[in-house]
Order: sequence, then C-alpha cells, then structure tokens
Amino acid sequence: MIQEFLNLILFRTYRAKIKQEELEKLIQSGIADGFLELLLSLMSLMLLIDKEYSKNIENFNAKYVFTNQSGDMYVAAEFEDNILKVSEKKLQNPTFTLIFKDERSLFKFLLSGAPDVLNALLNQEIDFIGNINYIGKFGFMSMHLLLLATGRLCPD
Amino acid sequence: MSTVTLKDISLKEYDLNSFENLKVLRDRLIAAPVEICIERAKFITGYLKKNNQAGDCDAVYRAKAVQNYLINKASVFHDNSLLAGNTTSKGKGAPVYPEFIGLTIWSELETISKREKNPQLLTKEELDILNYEIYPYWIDRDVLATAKSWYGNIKSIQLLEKIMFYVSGKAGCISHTVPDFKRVLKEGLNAVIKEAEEKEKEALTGSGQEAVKHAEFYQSVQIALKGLIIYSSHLAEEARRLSASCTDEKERKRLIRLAEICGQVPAKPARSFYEAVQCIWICLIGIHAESINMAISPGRLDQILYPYYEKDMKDGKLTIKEALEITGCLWLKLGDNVDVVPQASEELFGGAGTAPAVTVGGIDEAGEDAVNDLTYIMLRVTELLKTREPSMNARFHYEKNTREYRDRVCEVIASTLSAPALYNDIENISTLVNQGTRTEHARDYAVIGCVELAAAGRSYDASSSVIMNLAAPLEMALYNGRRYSTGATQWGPQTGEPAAFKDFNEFMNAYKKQAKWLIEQAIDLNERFGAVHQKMLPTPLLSALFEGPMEKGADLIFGGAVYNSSGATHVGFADTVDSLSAVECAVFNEKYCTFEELLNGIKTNFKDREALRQYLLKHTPKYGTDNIFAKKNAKEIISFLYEVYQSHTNYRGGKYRPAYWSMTNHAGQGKITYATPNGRKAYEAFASGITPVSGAAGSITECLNSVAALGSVNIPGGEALNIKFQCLTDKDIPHFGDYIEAYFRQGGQQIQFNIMSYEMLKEAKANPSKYPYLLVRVSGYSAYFNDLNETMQDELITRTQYSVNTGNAILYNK
Repeated sequence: MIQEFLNLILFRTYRAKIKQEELEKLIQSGIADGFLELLLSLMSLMLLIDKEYSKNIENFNAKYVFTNQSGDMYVAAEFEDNILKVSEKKLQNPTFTLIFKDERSLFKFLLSGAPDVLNALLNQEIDFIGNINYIGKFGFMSMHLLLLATGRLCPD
Repeated sequence: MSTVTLKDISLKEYDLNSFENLKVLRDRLIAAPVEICIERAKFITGYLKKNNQAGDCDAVYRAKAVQNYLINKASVFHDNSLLAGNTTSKGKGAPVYPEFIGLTIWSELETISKREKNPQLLTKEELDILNYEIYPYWIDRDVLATAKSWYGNIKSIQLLEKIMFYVSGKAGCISHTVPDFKRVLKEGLNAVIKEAEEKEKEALTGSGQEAVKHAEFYQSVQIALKGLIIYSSHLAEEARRLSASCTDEKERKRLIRLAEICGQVPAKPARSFYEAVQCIWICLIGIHAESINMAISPGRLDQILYPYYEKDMKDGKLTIKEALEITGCLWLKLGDNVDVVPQASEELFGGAGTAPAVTVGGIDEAGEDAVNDLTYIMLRVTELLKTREPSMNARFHYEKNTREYRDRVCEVIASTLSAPALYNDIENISTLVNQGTRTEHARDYAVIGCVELAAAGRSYDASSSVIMNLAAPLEMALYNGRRYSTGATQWGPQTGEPAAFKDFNEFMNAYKKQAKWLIEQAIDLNERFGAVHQKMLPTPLLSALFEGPMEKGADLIFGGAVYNSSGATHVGFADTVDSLSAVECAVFNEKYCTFEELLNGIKTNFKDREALRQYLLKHTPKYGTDNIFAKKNAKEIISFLYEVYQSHTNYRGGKYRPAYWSMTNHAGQGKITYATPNGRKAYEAFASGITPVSGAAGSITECLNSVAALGSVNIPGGEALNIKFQCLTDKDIPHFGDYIEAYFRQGGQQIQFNIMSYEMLKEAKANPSKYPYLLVRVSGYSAYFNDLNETMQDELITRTQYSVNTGNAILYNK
C-alpha cells in the first residue's frame, strides 16, 4: 500500500531509472534472485510514467499469479483500471498462473533475450494454467523493459 | 491419353539465360528478407471489431470480414513478374493469422526482426498495430483460447500444450487441401456467384433449419467471391494506372496486358493459357484470405492447364518459351509467402516453407497416360529455378507412363538434388479406392503439402489434424503411463511396470494401450477443434472452389466436400519399431539384459552403460532389414494404428487416415524425447517419415523392400520415404530409375531423394555461403538447407547415404 502510494507520487521517473539500472546489472550478473520483484516494480513504475508503455494495459484487466513449484514463492500482479498492483494476496480465479521451477528459470524465460513460452515449456522450466496468450502479452511487456534497460530498444 | 509433342522433353535448349526476368526474379525472391505482413490481420480484425456480427450468421459474418480484406487489399506490383497479385503486401511476406497461431510471436515482437535464425522483419508501426489493436482483440478469441473457454482445461488440451505427445493441427490451421480450379477456369466466378444466388433463393423457399443453413452458405459464397473479383479489378486498375506513367515500352505493354487479364479473370472464363495461370494465382490469393498459408496445394496443374496450353499452341498464340516463362513466374509467386514462426518453433521445427504442392504426371481419370507437354515444361521450370516452392511431386504409373518420362523425372532429381518426389500411381490409387473414393476420382489424385493424398478438388482431407509422437506411448509403456521428463505426473493409463512383464506380448499390449489412449485424446481434441472451426471459421471462398459444397449447400467445414477425412501423421515410427524389437530380443528372446537393466540404461542416457547401448544399436533387429522381428513389429504397428484410426469417424462424416510423414517434427520431437530402447540417446533426432533409422539398412534394396512390405492400404494418409544417394551422373539415371520402379513394383508408395554426400552437407553446414540455395528434401517438402536449425541439418547430414552403383550403404564418419 505504501509502495503503491509512493509509486503514485514520489520521484517516479528517477526511481524508474534506478530500477532500470538495477535490472541491467542483474541481467549482466546472471543472478536471478529478486528479479521478479524488481521486474514488476519497474513495470508498475513505467506504466505510470511512460504514456506509450501504459497503452499496453488500456482496457486490459487481468490477474496474473507467479509461483514456484514448491509454492514458497507467490506474487500476484493485477492489471486493473490502467494500473498494475503487485502483492502477495492469494487471488481467486486468476486469469493466468505461471508456475516456474525456480527464479532462475523464470529469469531465463522472461529475460533471456528471446522470451519464448515454447522453449521454457519444453524444458519443463515453466508450466501454466490459463490462456497462453496472456503470457505472450506479459512477455512482450517484460522484454520491452529489458531492451530499454540494456539500451537495445530500437528508435522508431 | 499422353499428348507429348515436344521434340526434346528435357527442353535443354532453354536455360535461365533464355529468359530476361526469371533469374532476376528468382534471385531477388530468395535473397529477399521475410517481412511480417499485418494487412490481412488488420482488415479482418477491423471488420470484426466494428461490426460485432449483429444479425449475421457465422458464415456470412466471416465472409464479410474476408471480403472487407480483399476489397482493401493493396494492389502492389513489386517487380516485373508476368503475374499480378501477391499473397501479402510485401515482396516476401509472413502474414499474421491471429485466429490461428498469429499471437505466438507476441512476446518477441521487438526481437523477431533481429533473431539469429530466420529473422522476420517488423516495422515499429506494424508492431504497434499488432500489439495495441490486433492482438488485444484476439487474446481470448483465437482457436485455442476459444476451445479452452468452451471445454475448460480438459486432458486432451493439456496434452496438446505439453507438445511432446502430439500436435493438433487445427489449433493452427486446417488448410492442407487441393482445391478445384477447373470450374472457375471454364466458367468464371461470376457463374459460381450466379448459381449461389439462385440456390440461395431456392433454399429460402424451403423450411426448417437445414434450408436456412443452405441459404446462409450460398449467401456467404457470393459475398466472399465478390470480394475476390473486386481485388482482381483493383489489380487491373493499378496496372492500368502504372502503365500510364511508364516510359519503358516493354514494361508498359506488360502492365497493359496484366490489366486486360485481371479484368477478365477470375470473374469470367479464362481464354488463354496466360489467363488461366493468372486466374489460378488470384484464386490462391483469395483462398489465403480465408485460410492460413499451410499446404494450400495447386494440384495437377499440368492436367488442369493443358487444354489452354494445347489450344494456344495450336492457334499459334503461345510458344514453349512463353509457357516456360509464365509457369516460372507462377512458381516464384508460390514462394512469395512464408509462415510466421516463433523462435522455439524455428529451433524445433524451423525451415519449413508453406508447402504448396504441385503434382504432375501419372494417369488420367480414364486410366491412361496423362503425361503431356506441360508435364515436361513444369519439370524443366523446376529444374531451372531450383526453388523451395512449389513442393514438386511426380506421379509415376509403371504400366502406363513411359520410361522416358520416368528417366526425365530422375534427371530433374539429379539436377535439383532433391525434387520432385515420386508417387506410385498403382498403390496410391488403390489405397484411395479402398477408402471409398471412386476409381476415376482416385486416378485424379494430387498431393497435398508434404505427401498426403487428395482426390483433387473433391476431398477435404485436413491432413495435418494430428501429428503424433509415437515415442510418447513408448515411454508411457516403459513408465506405466508417465513420461520421463515429467516425472511422477500420470498422463496415460496404468499398464504395469515392465520389469514385471513375463513376455514381450505384455509389453506390446502395454504400448498399444497407451497408443490407443493417446490417439483417442488427439481425436477427441480434433473433434472439439472442428466444432470451433465450424463456428468461427467457415470457408465459403474455398468451398466454392470444390466439387460438393455447391451441390450440398454446405461449407467444407460442415462436410460439403464429396469426400471427407482427417489425417493423422506419425513421428518416430522407425525408432519406435526398433525400440519394440530391441525389447523383444534383448530382454525376452536373447535375455541379454533384464527389463530393469534396460530401463536403467535409458534413464541414465546410457551413462556408464555403453556396452548395453552398443548391443542395442548393433545386435537388435532393425526396421529396414530382412530381420523377421523387425518386419513383424513394423507391420504390426502399421496395421494396429490403421485399425484404431479407421474405427473413428470425424465431425464431417469421414474417417481418420494414418500417415507417416514428419516435416521437421522428427527433429523437434526427438529433441524433447529422452533415450529410447533402440540405443538412441536422449534428444537425438528421430528418423524421418517412414524411413528406417540412419545406418540400419545396409543396402538400398533391403531398405526399399522393408518399406514396400508395409504396403499402402494401411497408409491412406501418405508417407515420406527419404533416401540419400551419393551422386548421380547421366549414366546413372536409368539405374536410378530402375531402383524406383522396382520399389514401386514391390508395393512402395512414395519416395524422395537427396542427392548429396555426407561431405557436401557437412561443408554446407560449415560454410553456408558456399551453398546459399542448396535445396534439400526434408520429410515431405523441400527446404533450403541454410534455413534449417542445427538439429535438422545434422539429421540430414547423418541420413544413410547409398551408392547408386553398388546399392550399399556408405558408412558415416563423424
């Protein structure tokens, strides 16, 4: 709640820049720990400050759950009313649930440079419940942040 | 009746330099980057978003969306081809079909232009349209999402989404068919529209749901066909407009001629060979407005176009050179589009084109030699252009077609190194007759896509409905209903722990039980997808280009065709048969090891168990040899699968037809399947199609005899036998032809070749720039070697190579 409040009002652009740098460092280090929290945190900031990026969630209402196979990691991401809320709230009837082997698997899947559901599925690194198109959309949004953070997003 | 008047059937006096344009057009096409095209997706989606189906039945709603696309489709002239019109708005386009698998590239929209293997270019503007406008509309509406919303997360869908059990074609397409062009050539689409209009009126006088459905169908036909005619008229207008400002006289004349032709066809009858070819091309564009670009196959073009060719030649209006050039332009147009492919599909299954199959030769409906001048013209064009499209196929009837024809086909194979594939008329015709096809229709068969058999223009075959990994039930029999890679998850029925089996029959029965269960899941899913297609995706335009729907008043998707079936092909046949034989002999007959020891070997990928692996590789029976166990098990699996499939009737009232072709799925599925009892290591590619495992058959004769012994009656869906010969010189041609004929006389159904050595392929892999256009026959269709992923390249390299002189296999040295 406090985090959300802060996101709404305080130094959003600056904080987003810091998060981007953290993401770039994380990607370069190859260490996956904490990346999902970082990714979602950056995503929620970018959705507030980047008009173009926020078009991704115009009229988009969906509830995503990210959880690992052992169940001790659980993150809920709710897209509603043009904002993203991240919490550990146990969601009823999520639109899409992504179950990953470990945070490294999720890291590889989303941020390896070519997010691809098929590869990750076939390697048994992720599984899912729901309509697979939803992870395609989330994958696009994640990849955009990766490309932005690493300076690889091509100009128009 | 054979009507060959050519003095030289090889047409050697014509080479690519004989034609001003063909070489330039070909080189440009091959070198052109693939560009994702969103034009169709934009107009179809735009219509559906705006109009919301109010008042329209499904068929009419769909037809209006397709019409909207066709009347807004850009009339672009990218080059100076003799034919007008393009499948997409790009020079070489990958059209997005959001109803099917178009959303699979969503996550990589910003990287697909730069990916290492087969990039597909996407502009920022088009990316934004896909991301913000098109994909959001379809996120819950494509075929798979719709099926999930209707049926929930049922078992058959779960198995599909795991990929390693089977692929269900309908999630991505039906397509895979051979339309009928004879009527549109003879009468024009206006005549078909008029008939539809009259039949609609007649249906409206009837009562009951049936009459209403008929009326709706005829109405949808008119709408879709009018859209195509309008597109053609736009081409004519654009050609005329361009000609007005053209300073090059030759170019101006070309454009004026195209304007005249597109003003005539396909609305009105074709009056010349040139108009007929243009008509067929525009119809194919129209078909792709409705159906995804996967194996929409033009069919027996040498037969269909022959009357126009013959007349023009007699009247002095056409020369052989012109016929070659026009045909060449059609061949190049057929390659103007590829499939949108996500990265993992590239890695697993990549390099496939859209496989539009052209079929030449064979016999006619009366049972007589059908080879004519156009057959040889089309073979020569194939030989000169050496392009991936069309997927070229030559029928051969050893009692009716001449030896000259046979040997000419062999020459073309030697020249192109891989095309065409050859089909045994006697076996294929009897196989189709056995499926209930009338003899004269069976004689008129054409090939779909890879190798599937169609009663051309009369049968709706949906030949890729199921692509089954036969190693999946094998693993499930080994692990009591589980797969190695998914651990304790119980997928199939419990068939017992094999270590406790007392004899081989118990294991074979376990395998059959798992296979039957899996097949029934795949069929269940296909039926459900069929219902989704019936609701969402009727194809009135395609239906109008078929015998049957106009008479029945029913779209193809509702069983309108004369013949209906669903094709189910199989991956990993040879490895599975060899694995069964290995279990039979190593565990039960020879008692070389216990079942538990075998399982431990497989589970560890033969780590520290190389002696076991070598025994399995070298001392257990192999399909492709004369070994009685191998032959027995191969026949048993073929006939078992046939019985299971044929006991099911599909939603259109037809049977399921088993087939054995694999595209690149044998590489892809192999890559995700663990070690198998035949000594195959984890993640190695399977053998392709119905081909024995590489290295199994020591001689070509043994290999061909083994495959021929399977017969064709139990393989009504078609098969791909991939054979590699080291090289062929001119003097080898008759001997090469004799092998093929002997194989056909033994009962072989189909055969296709790569005429290349291990060294050549290894060099092509190491130095792709030395072989930029190397065409290979994969397992059904042709592909450029450089487009294939590494696994597929390696599989091709290691395929057994035979000497045409001795017939012996040449061992592969790594």
